[in-house]
Amino acid sequence: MSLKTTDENHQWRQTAVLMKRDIYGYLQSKGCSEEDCVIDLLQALYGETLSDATKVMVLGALQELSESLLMDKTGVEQAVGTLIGFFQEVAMSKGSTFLKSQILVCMTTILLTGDQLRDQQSLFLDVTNLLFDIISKVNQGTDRALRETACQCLEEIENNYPGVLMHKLDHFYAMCQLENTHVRQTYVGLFNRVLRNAVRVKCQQASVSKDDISDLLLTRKEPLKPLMLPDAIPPAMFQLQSRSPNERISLPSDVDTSELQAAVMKSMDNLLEMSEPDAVKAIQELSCICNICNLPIQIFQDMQRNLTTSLSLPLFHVHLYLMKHYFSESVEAVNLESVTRHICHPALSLGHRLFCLHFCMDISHQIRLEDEDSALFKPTIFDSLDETLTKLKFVIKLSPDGLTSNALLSYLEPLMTSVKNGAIGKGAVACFRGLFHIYANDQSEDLNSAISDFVVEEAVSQHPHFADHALNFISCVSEELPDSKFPSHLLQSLTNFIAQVSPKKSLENLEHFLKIFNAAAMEESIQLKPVTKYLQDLFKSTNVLENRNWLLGNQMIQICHNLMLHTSLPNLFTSVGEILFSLMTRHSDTNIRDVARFFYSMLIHLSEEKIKAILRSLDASNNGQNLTNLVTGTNNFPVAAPVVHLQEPILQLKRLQRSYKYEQLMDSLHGCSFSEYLRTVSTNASIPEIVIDLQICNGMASESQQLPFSKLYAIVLSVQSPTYYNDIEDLHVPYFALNDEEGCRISLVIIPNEPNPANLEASAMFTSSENKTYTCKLKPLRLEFEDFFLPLPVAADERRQIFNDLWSHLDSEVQRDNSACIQSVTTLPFTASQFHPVINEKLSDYIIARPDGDEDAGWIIGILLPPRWHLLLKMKATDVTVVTINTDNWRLLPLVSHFLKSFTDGD
Amino acid sequence: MSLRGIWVFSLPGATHGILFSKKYPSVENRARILNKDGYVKLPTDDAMREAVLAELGIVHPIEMFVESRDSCSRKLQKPVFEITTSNGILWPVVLYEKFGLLLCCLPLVESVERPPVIDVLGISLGYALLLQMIDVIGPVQQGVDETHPQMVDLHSYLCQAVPFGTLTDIEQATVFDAISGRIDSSHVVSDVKPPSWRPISVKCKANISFRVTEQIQAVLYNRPDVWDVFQIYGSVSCKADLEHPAPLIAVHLSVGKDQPRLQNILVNSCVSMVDDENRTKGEGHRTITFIPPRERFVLCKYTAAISPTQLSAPNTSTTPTLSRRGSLTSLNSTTSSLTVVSQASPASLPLRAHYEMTGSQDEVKIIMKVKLSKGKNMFEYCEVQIPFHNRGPIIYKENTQSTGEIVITNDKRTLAWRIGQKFPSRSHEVTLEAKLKFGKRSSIMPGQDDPFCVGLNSFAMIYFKIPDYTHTSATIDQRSLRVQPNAKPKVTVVREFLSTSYKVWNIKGNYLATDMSDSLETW
Repeated sequence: MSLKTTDENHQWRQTAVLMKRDIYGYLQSKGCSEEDCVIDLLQALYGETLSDATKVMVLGALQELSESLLMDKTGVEQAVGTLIGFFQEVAMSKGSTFLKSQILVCMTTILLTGDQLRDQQSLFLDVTNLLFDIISKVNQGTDRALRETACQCLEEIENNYPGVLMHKLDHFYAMCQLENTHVRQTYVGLFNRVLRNAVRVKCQQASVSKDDISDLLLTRKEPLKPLMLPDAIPPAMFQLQSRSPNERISLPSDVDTSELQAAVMKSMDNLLEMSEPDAVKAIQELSCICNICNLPIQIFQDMQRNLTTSLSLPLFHVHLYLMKHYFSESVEAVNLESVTRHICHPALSLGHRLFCLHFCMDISHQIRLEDEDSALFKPTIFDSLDETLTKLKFVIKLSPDGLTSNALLSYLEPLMTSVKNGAIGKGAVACFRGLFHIYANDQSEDLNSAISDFVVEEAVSQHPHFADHALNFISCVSEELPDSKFPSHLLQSLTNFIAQVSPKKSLENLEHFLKIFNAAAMEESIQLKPVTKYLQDLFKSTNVLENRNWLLGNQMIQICHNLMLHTSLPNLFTSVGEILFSLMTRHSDTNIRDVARFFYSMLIHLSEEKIKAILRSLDASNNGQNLTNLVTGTNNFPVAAPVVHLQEPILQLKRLQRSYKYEQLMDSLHGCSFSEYLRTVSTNASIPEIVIDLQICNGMASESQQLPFSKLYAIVLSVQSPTYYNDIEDLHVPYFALNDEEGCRISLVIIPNEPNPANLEASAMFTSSENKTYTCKLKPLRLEFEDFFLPLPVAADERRQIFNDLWSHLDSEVQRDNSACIQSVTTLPFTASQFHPVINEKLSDYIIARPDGDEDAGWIIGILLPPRWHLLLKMKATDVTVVTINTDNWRLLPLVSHFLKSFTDGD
Repeated sequence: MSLRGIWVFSLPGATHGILFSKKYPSVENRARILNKDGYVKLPTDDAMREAVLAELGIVHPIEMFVESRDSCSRKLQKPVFEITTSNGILWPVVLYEKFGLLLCCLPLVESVERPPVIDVLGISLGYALLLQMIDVIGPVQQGVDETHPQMVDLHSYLCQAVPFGTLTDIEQATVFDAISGRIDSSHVVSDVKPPSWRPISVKCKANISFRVTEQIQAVLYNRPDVWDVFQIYGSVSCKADLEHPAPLIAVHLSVGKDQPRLQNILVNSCVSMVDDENRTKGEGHRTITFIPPRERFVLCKYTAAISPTQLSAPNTSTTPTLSRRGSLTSLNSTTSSLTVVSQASPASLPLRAHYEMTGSQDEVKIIMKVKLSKGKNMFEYCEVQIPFHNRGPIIYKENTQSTGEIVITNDKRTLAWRIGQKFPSRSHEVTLEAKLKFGKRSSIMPGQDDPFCVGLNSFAMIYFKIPDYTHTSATIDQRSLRVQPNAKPKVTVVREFLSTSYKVWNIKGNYLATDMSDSLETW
């Protein structure tokens, strides 16, 4: 591969990646529109130097971005049409099957991303019939991989439009039986999916005749014909619905299901030869069919044995899934041996074992665990931390009468030993988490004292760095069991323990001890005299206050704050006062002294009620946060969400009318010569502005969820401008009520650098009545090419002259081969009488001369396209209308052509 | 059971954060319809990575208590996570980490309410896919980005294996056969229906090779009040070169005379049948019948008899179902010897070992003894490694060993004793005595030190591999092999026994153990 080719491949791979990362950013940086981008991608596919892998990446980008890039029907039609053409070209040249397959995948995805079944039925049918054509060549050896993909495409179509392929079921059934190669499994997959959807559709029909199901399978009399659909498809038809695995629909009992059962059995014969994902899918679908059609679910029993001994996680998963949904009432509970085989197998991956534990917990009521069985799941020294905890939860959930607390605590033995030895990190986290799970399950006295002994005497007392873990454990127990007294008992024990430590010896761990005191000071039920005494002793016997340690000082202030707020002050008045006095007189940090002085003043001058009221209001205003929490506590303080993002566009921008402003330009051109005209216009001295009047309305669908507000304040509307317009300034609306039917009127000013159409992304940010800030995206605002049309910027009576001068000038420029100017001729299928109303509707503002009875004369149209280009048209209507186009910007020609084509859209 | 998206991220610190992403618009369409109000839009790749890293808490040091990551009440269902994004909470995100990469996928939930994990079959399929994906990618160098050939290969793989977000066939060999066009160019035998894992048949010499790899994990405490524990498990892999599109192979997985049966046999999905154990003249075997894939694959996995976690009881206990482990005659004497059970069996350890470390933070003395049970005395390698956590680098060593050589690893944190290929033929025992000094601990490498191993808390690890041997005597019986339709392939069977984690705790320090006494009754 040459260097140039390598570069090109790399460049396109890079482009595909950039597009996928941020398509709007990409479009903006390249200054191109969505349409241009699609065209570039499609053209890249035809590049001879690109490798298949690169082309597949380009197709992948197109596939993933189809929703963002293909905004309208035409875009979809053109993209799919081009892909069909490309597919045929690759097929003709006997190109790579992989590339062909991916073209099919890409066009199917594009088709399904928009609702093309309803919007462009003929396109939908074109693709579907192409896929039928491919899959109909059963047993053809050279197209196996392509047929496989075509089946997958059809299956995806059926996934998104359940029932749409129902009437081809007989053909799929026959193909499954005829196909001999390995892709038979894919045909079976397609058949199963269509069959399952078909029986669901039949169940929902008002009346089902006895032979309906058999007819679906056996009516095949002729070769596979193109798909036929009703012209207008009702909204409920082929509509996707969420369903539970145990859906309650079922076929009437008089429907003949013998042929269906035969078909199910034939499908099941293939299960052992399928890939794992296909087998999982097939088992789920066939079990669902059996459930709906009242077929005996026992036909899966033999299969279950294979599933339980499979190395494959998905297959064991589907076994448990069947047990849960279809064998729940069966006498046989989930086989314990099969469960342990997977959960405890050291040769399986950790993920495999963890998944099995989770799945089994979901069907815990179906697993009979005797007391002695729980030892099967006891964590071993070889288990990871996650496995140890999950096994612990598993045993707690499954044990019929619950294990003793001691037995459960023994599960955590290595972790507790690790904590006793002061080992921090994941092991310590797992240990406290395990204790929490055990305590949440059983709150016996024995357990209380065992946990308390461990936490106080073996963890925190020996290794004060476990203070965070212990406090978190206490807080989680309080949340889980709000009535439990254990958290405050444990906190009291911790406090008492610290209070006994000699202050001099505790300096190294003071930060951890103060955290515990701080938590204790928030509990009314805790005896806090030891805390205040400890602090007083600390101040007397050490120089902690003189060490300029702002952090510790703040922690001490916080303890005083909590004591004043949460406890009965008369009991602690003197000691808190002394602590604050020491802080305000001795602490070496000014800030600490100031705060201590403020608290001290409150304490000695105000009543207890007033002090508590002031501190409460202070807490409310700072949301419980302070710098001490930030620095010394965990770094997970609650952060209020600054902005709420709404999923649904609650506002809508309705277009009212378009106008323009170019008075300044007109003034500067008044009475000037043609050459001055050209110079002035081309310098861009004053660019015309396009003004779009918009109405802000309520954009929510009536069935949408109710919002907690109805009035919007300080609305800021931001409209993203593509690079070919100047930046669009944000629009500000002071107030809007969602129930205001008249809406609110605003004007959007666009200053274009090129008159290109665009979809403008808009978003709104506002404040609601409850003082929260919200943002939401709005539906894009569409600007068409004709929105940029302006009459020639001279007085009406001068326009004819300017038109003539411009026409001659452009003619001469074309003769001189000026690359920007171009002349073109096209025809429109209108006679003179037909054309009259059309032109009045589309171009009346720009007409400079009309035929007015003179049959040789035609329409003369002069348009300024901001900032500096002209579009001059001469139109003469006889049997058809001949349009002569003259412009000084050839790049606009496709837009002009598109615009003229739109004249015929109404026909 | 489709996937909404697949991502590959690198862990913090890499040059490129996002290495790969793929989303499926048609699945997203279904998510919008099926999830109704609960639908959460996929975030941008950058936002997704940020949210995943935040959920895992790996942006914070492991030693620090971080409430959002470490809280007791945090609901965890690893490897399934819920990821908080600015659009809402995404669930169930399946994560897998390997080679410094984080692989994620988001299975489609087909209901409005969050179902239990057992109802989302896409979760286990997604996990299976992530395991295959990491094999496709392999280890990555620093600086790899989305356009790197490894990622382009991954893109091609996913286009074929997961065309619409729904997994089809994820076996690498089959997928790359389809991508390369080999499937279409191979001939079709019209009268045989091949399974999906044998899409092509190629002309080749008939060969079948089996590899029985048995592994042991053990923790030795050498204390009268603690059980030594070990578990033995194995796997049999197979590579069958056979021309026929669907050859049916039947073979015996057998154990020797009077050896306990293999347990917990789990088989590849290509296996159509496993017979119950058949015992003749004391020898036991199970017949496995299968149609092999073309590439090497794991045919089955098993554990040794008795239990996944085996126990070697303290010398004070008697357990009828187990062999008793040997004990040291003298724990403190440097001349102590090891008494071992007379016959190697699954219920006995292949190596006994004694590790004794005394001293201070700066200087330690070590005595290490290893003795071979009466197993096979022929190793491919046998090495003892003693890592020194939470200490400075080794700056001085003085050693005497009965055999082998002593090496200090490059990071100067581990002492390695390469015992070699054989134990002395008479005593079967080797001894090392060493004196080590440590320098100042200059920097702490987060996550590299075991926080438990401070002071005298220490362990040694033994790594060994014995070729042509399995501790359970498990093997594939070549004579039993039958192939349909009739073929006479050349059959080779390779056996190996190796340690994955063989830990010996310092007799003088603390240790981590689980009380296994109540497990005895069950196993």
